[in-house]
Amino acid sequence: MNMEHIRDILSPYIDGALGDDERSRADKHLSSCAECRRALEDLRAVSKAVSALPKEPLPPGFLARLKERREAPVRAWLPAPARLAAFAAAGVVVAIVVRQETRLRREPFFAGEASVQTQEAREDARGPAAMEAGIQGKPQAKDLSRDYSNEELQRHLDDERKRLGIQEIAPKSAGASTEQPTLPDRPMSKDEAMEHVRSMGEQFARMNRQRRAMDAPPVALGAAAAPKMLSKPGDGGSPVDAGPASAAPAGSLSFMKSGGPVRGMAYESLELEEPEASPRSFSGSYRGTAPAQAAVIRGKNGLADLWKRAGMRGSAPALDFDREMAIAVFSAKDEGRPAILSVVADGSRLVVRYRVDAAAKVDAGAAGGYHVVVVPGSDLTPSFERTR
Amino acid sequence: MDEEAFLKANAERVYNLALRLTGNRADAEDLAQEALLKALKALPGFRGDSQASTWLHRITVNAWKNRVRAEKRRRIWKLLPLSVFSRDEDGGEAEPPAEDPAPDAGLAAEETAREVQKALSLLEEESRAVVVLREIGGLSYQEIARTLEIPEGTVKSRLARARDALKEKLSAFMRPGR
Repeated sequence: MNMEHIRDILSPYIDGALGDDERSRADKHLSSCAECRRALEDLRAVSKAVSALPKEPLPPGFLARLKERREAPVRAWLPAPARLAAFAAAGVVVAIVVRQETRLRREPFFAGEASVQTQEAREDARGPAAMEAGIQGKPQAKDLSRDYSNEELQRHLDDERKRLGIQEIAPKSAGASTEQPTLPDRPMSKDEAMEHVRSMGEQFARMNRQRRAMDAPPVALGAAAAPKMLSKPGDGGSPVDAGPASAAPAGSLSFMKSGGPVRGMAYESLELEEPEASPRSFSGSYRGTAPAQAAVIRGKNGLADLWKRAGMRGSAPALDFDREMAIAVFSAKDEGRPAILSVVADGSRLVVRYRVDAAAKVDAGAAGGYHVVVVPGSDLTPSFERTR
Repeated sequence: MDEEAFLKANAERVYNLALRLTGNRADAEDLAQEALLKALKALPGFRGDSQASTWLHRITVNAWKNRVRAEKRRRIWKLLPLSVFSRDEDGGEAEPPAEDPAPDAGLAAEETAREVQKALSLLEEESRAVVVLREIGGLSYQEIARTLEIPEGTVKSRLARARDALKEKLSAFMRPGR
């Protein structure tokens, strides 16, 4: 036993979770093995470091907000299965679901707060109990022995929608295509109707994509510059693999040049490290008040949202989120401008090193500075490290 | 059990678990509230404190795991305070004075906490849950096993692995020069 180290059981040892036999063997070994004693000390220190994390009191207003949330009406977004069954009889259930689904998917992009409030107000007025049981009238029984014309189905659909209180789709963005997918106006078999419904779903999805694109119009970006390594291999880990589709040599981290009309670009810090590097990066000042923050953005809507929320100028740049992602660092108020220096994969982490240049002033009236860089997409957990 | 008494006994505890799982106060509040709301709903059905607390731990961890999964699936982005990830050295804090009672710590307590939380946040979710329940919640192996519905042996091995990972992440910081 003596030469057989007991690292494996040190963790339960410090928790007092070993059986008597195992424990006395461990004690015996520890008394003669300095290496294991040191490992034990380390482990105890780790355990203590975590358990000594300060206990925080509840944030002010926590219980009041809990109460508020508790009393908020329950949202019944989709009809309950029992209600769906009634629809199924008429063969229109899928259409409703598609519509409903479409409304949900589109809501963040079109409806905004107004329509959400309407929804809530309506639920408020009726009360959750009314929502649950609530449906005025009974679903109309449908005779399954014959086909229905589309007009009949549509009418039934409208009635059911009213009966269930399903909201109408909110107004579209200006300039968006106004053409709604519709069912052909003739009797159909159930299979054919299902097929139409499926293709309508696809059309809705396509329209959503188009409208999203219109909500966040792409900014023209200049030709990509030659990718540059921002960190030496082995210096803090292996760089992100840019992937085969990228122009970057395998194993290197690429930043690309931006020639787009995004204002307030600053490359100072990156130029210090690598004079020829021209990262695709955006920096400037943001409005609003915020502590120092960071974000990794892996989708277009996130980027548009970030742009808007931070009050950044212009539209969000167009990125290919299948291959790229954006990393943003915001400095705290009056702290100066942040600059991301390097982004390097280190084991399961993506280490983002940045610094805040107190001498680089943000614009008058702005809260702080931001720096956004575009890097090859990665699922690694980001870790932000500040350097001087 | 009386609701008010239940909240008084558990809200802060759940919040602190949530805080260490999520690593930031905003998410912690949201998560803690979600768990407490579920618990309040089920409260009348509980026979005793211990059953309720196991269950409360379980729904907190499960709600957190669901969020993490949903975020991964939806590739949600969010702004997080940098302090979650980083050790801000330029925050205007002075170096600890020479007569600091714990010279080997070398860093202010606040910075230590940040560094530890950061290491915690970098653990895999399964490991993080076990560590948080053990070190923050103070649960025994048996209680953790019941809470997470995994065998006790798994608790033991996960905790050992997680501690090793933490040790590695914190080594430079806890024992400078080694």
